[in-house]
Amino acid sequence: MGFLAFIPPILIGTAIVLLVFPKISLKGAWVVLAVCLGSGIGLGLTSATCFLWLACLGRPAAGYLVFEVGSAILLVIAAFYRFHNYRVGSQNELTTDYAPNDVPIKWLKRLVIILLLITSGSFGLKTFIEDPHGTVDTRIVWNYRARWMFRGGDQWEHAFYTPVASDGELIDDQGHAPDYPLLITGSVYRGWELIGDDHVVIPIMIAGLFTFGTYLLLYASLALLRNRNQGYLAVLFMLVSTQFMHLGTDQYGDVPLAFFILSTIALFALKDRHSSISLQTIILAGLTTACAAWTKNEGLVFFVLVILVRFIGQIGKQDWSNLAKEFFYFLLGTLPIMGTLIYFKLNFAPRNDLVNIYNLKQSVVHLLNPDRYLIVISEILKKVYFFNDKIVILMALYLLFSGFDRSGKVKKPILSHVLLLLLMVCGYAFAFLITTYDLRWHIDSSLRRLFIQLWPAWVFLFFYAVKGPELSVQEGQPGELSRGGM
Amino acid sequence: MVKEKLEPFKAYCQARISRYFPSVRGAVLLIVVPAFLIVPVYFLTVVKEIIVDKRFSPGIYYEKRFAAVRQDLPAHAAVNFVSDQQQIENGDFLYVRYALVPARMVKGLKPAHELLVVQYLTTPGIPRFNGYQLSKNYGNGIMLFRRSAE
Repeated sequence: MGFLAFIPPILIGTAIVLLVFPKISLKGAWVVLAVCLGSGIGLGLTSATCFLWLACLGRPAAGYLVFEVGSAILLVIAAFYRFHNYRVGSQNELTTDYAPNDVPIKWLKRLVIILLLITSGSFGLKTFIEDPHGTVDTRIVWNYRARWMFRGGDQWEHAFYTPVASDGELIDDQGHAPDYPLLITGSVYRGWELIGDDHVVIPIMIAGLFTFGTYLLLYASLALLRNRNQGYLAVLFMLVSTQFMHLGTDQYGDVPLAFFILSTIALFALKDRHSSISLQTIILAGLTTACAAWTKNEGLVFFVLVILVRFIGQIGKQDWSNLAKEFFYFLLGTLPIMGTLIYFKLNFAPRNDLVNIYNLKQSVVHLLNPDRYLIVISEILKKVYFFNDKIVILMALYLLFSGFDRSGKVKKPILSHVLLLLLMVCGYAFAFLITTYDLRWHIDSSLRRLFIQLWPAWVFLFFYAVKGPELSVQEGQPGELSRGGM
Repeated sequence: MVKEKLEPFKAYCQARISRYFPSVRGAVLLIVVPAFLIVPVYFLTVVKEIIVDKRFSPGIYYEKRFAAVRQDLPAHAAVNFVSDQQQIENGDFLYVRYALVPARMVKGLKPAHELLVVQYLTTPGIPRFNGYQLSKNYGNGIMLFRRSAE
């Protein structure tokens, strides 16, 4: 019955997407995009409301359920009304530029579906049977805090208590990360509270939703921005990078964060492509960026960088009033979740283990040490090369044989996304430079996961930029695409 | 220069591939073939590890092992914990701390609290701890001690 707990967030999120975005067609990739985005946004919003309810009104019991289900019903009615009215008033459905050429290669589609099913089998076995309680971080961070919120009664705030008592000493629990935001913890807690039991099905379903949501979102966004075949190919490539799925089964927060980073970049790519839906995508991008910040502290860095690259960086390049308007809509989208995050950080979260006043002096000393720069840069380059059994070689070979799509529609807008992701890598490097932990330990224990956070977004940009899988007429395409091959 | 040298090779590959996949760019197979092989092999590896080799995370055993003692611990009480399983990767204590929420676990015997949970899986017999007496032996290596009156 655990899956019932996911219906309200999915309905709430999807209804919000449709309310903001009534122009989209309820067909094919648009539906996948709306439901995937809606599921993530829904979980972000419900985890925030559940936490606020617990903090302000006490345990979220029947009253909370009524509130959540009632909100879902009202939003669905409003979305249906707006969507229907839009269709009656105007017949302009949003279409993609590549739509006339979008003939799916059937064998590629079938292969993607079969491999996704096989991957879901691997996911199910690893989560439900091998390790239902998740691996290390899940037990010391995400689900540990959720358990305290669920089982802790009136002392649930112990979830954010840092020290661990050990042999007469109170030591700082380095791995506990009690200041981490609450999207995962709050969603797990919310699910447990609704079903009345801290059953493993809730965190596993959350992990599955974000893992497979990322695959589907990657497909949908590329299907809309390029074509369906490109989307299939990108999903196949993501399935080859098994470390992503593996980390998903570990129930870590990096996969949900990767989902929100991908969502934000895909929404900005849609905005750059379709100026008619600019403000709608900006609102949703605000929501997904805030969800990223509500998932992990790295998401806060992403939040700041999005503002820097997409707004501050555009000053002088874009019309001032238009930019201010876009920024206003972006902030509007971030408001509900960022408000909750600020409330959490000010009232509940203890100090951060990396950036705090006590470590300031040591951090400055580390920043002035050139050896650390060498170690961090060389380790990052090494990890990039060795990431997922040197999958970058496969990427390079594909690029070599396929080449870039030279159309202006792809080339120009992609640069700001690449810059954003590169600045994220710089942010990670900065964190390693100032860390007060053992540098090697810190890099070894976290760098792979940090790459996973950006991996789907890199894959998206890669397939957004390279040529599609189908041959063009000039390249000797023999006939209808769907006929091809198998 | 390199590009010119590669062109005949690319054309040859494309011609060979076009015989079987007439409408797609040859480079696509660079992704399709690994995906076709890696995803099922990964699945079979997972099946072998879990179904055949019966490899499960220690977390499952901890949850089962400590389920009974959890019922006997008062909520929010500070409880000492001693174990002979220090060698477990990623910390035996972290598994126990997670399994026994909302008890506030204290690793070791200092400072001494009213209750002590002991996990002796490889050490035979009932251990003795100064100032504590056995309250309940759960029979699976887990014992609950309570502070004695003296």
